[in-house]
Amino acid sequence: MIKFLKHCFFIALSTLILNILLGKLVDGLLVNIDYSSYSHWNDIVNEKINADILILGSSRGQVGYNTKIIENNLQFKTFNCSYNAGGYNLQRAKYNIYRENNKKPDIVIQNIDLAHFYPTSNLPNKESILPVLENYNIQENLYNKFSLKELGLLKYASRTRIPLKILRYYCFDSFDYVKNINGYTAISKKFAIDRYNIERFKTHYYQSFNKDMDEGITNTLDFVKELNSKNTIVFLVWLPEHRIRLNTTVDLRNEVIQLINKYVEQNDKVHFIDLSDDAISDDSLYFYDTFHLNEKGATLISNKIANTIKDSLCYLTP
Amino acid sequence: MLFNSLEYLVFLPLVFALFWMFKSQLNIQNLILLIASYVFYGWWDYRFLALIAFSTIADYVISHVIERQKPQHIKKCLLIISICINLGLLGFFKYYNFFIESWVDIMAQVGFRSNVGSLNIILPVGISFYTFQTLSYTIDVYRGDLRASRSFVNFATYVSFFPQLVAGPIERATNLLPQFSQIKKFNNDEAIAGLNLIIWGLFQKIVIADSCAIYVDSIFENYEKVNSFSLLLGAIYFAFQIYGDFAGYSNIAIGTARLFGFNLMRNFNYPYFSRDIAEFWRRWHISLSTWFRDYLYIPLGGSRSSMITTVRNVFIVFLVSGFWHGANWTFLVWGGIHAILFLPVLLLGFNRKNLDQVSISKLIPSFKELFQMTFTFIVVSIAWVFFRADNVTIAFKYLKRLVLDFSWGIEFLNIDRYNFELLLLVLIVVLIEWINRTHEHPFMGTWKWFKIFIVILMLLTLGVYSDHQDFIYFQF
Repeated sequence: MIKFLKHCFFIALSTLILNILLGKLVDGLLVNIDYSSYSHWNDIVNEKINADILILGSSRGQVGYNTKIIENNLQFKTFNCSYNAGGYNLQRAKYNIYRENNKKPDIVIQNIDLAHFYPTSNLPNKESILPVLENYNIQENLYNKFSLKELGLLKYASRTRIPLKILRYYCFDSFDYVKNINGYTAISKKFAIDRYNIERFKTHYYQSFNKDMDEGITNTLDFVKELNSKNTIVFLVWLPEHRIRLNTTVDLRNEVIQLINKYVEQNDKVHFIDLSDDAISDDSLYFYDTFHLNEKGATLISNKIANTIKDSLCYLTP
Repeated sequence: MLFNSLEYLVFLPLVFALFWMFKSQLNIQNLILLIASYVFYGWWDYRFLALIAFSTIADYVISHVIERQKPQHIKKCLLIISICINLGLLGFFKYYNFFIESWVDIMAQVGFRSNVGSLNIILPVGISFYTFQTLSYTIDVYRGDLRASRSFVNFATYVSFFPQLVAGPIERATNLLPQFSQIKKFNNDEAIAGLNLIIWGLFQKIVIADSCAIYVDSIFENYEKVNSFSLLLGAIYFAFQIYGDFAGYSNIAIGTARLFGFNLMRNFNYPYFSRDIAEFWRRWHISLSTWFRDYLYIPLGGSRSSMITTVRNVFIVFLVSGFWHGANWTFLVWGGIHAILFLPVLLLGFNRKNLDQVSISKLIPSFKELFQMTFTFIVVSIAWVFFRADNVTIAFKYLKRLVLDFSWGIEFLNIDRYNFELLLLVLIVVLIEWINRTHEHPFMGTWKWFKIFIVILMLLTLGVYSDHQDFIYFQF
């Protein structure tokens, strides 16, 4: 019996050690892939950002704000902390994680749009946070379902692409991925209509003001209030949408914009830059689909936003 | 409680420790196993414990009365009562709605409207397995092959023995019941062999079956949209999904039983290396096919009477076997296909041609053997499409599209997690099994530790833990 128990113990212990060591190895290899979404999250939880200007948003935020342009224009360290495919709740969670590990930003650029006000129930792009999944702040704010099934190497189980990514990056230097520079992801794709999303917009929730949206707006404005109370200036920005998309949501968008304007009028530390129906909305050259700016669009709009912020800051600090 | 769950990871060592704490006290050990088995079963739904208890008491009492009775007609009458009780429970819980719905459909076809409604019945897990196990016991007692169990605890443990309770192997009372009366001595080598079987079974389930399941589910849900190549892969992957799932469960069950000093029968013997359909049925779900052979096929006359009777018997056995798997026409068609495939082999006298392992002394099979194995695998996989499809029409449409679509692009493979890696994984498994086909499992022979660690590494890296899946055979 003792021999058998030793055998079991040996297998269990070596499995555990193998699991943890290999898990750590993969974590390390992934977070060291330059400009990857893995290193992005790793920087956030390891106090490596400490930006003066922080950009929050969803995928539109991630691809729409060129951090380098804003940084060069304003001479403030800028970081794009948007959550790809995340509603206001996930953006808020990411901000909380950021704040647990980094200094308070002086300025927050909060990207808004109709989709922003809907909470995201699942966890999109979970793969990006896998290397930091064991981090307390991640579990506290974003992923409270962590279990033993995700300990060490197990969290990468069945993600067969990950070893291939590592192999390609470290051995063949041929890892072709979309680079994430200070949180900004430049997309240089040509314009194509995202019919599925348009249909979703038309048929689902974005047609009328409902309870979810009401809650989303309240939550967002509460968050703004909280930031203001800590002396952070907030710029709410509605990035340009393509005309095809704009036409599907005219009334609801106007209703929400009115609400935001009303709030901004009563608060000094909040500014609203409404670029939703910008001149570029009619030009497909600046979009890669009806909702997202491409690299060209992001460059143009980031300059515009930086200049607007510069003007506002001059006004604020005489 | 699932074998691949964290609960089981706690449950098994606990029962193991308790069991061997009372090393020479057989009654206490059996009682521990009985309680553990009821906890294991009750973990799904405690209400069904009453069902298994009722079935146990009924068969225990009837078997004793059968043994005491001298007149044959009374014995027969009691056997029929036992069969009616067991099949009655199975029929009600598993087949009631099927018969009602089929009846309503048939009536509608001839222009009558029937008002008989179906019931909201939950199928008790593993009812088909333990029903067949208790049936075999009563039949054996009736035949005089076995004495009725004196100990109720032993008998109840035999019926509910947790390693094989919900998905087999369907044990014969003549093999398993006497083991509950033997004092157990801990055998280190047996226990290690059991542990190795558990690891291999987990690999088959978590790595092979569950990985294939993701692809298979997508393909069968979208069979009208995907091309021939994807449909072909869907059929192949399902063949490996069901094999990995069921063989994996059986190996974990056999391995677990060995930890307690019990020997269960082997349920799978590398079935996809079969050279004909008869060989396939000697290697696939052995405990069920031998059950049908001994308790249905031979009593019906087997193949020793006229050709017509033989054809009838083969059809009965395969159709009942299909129906045993589930209350759906798809299973009946699946059984029917196997009967059609089996009959020519039987009638031409080739059914016992390939009794030994294929290409036993060579590493590479001959061209003829390779052709035979491939052909058998193809026909078995075609039949699996009926087994997997939601209804017979879908199965036919699936196969029609597979053959007639003529598009062989790799479109669907280009999706993350459904990629070439899975195809590679299946090929690796085939290779591992081929090299080890003369052993019970691949951890036997040389390089044992190396093989174990490679499999553990594969479990850690390739296992599917997020899309947690039940074992397919639980539903039967």
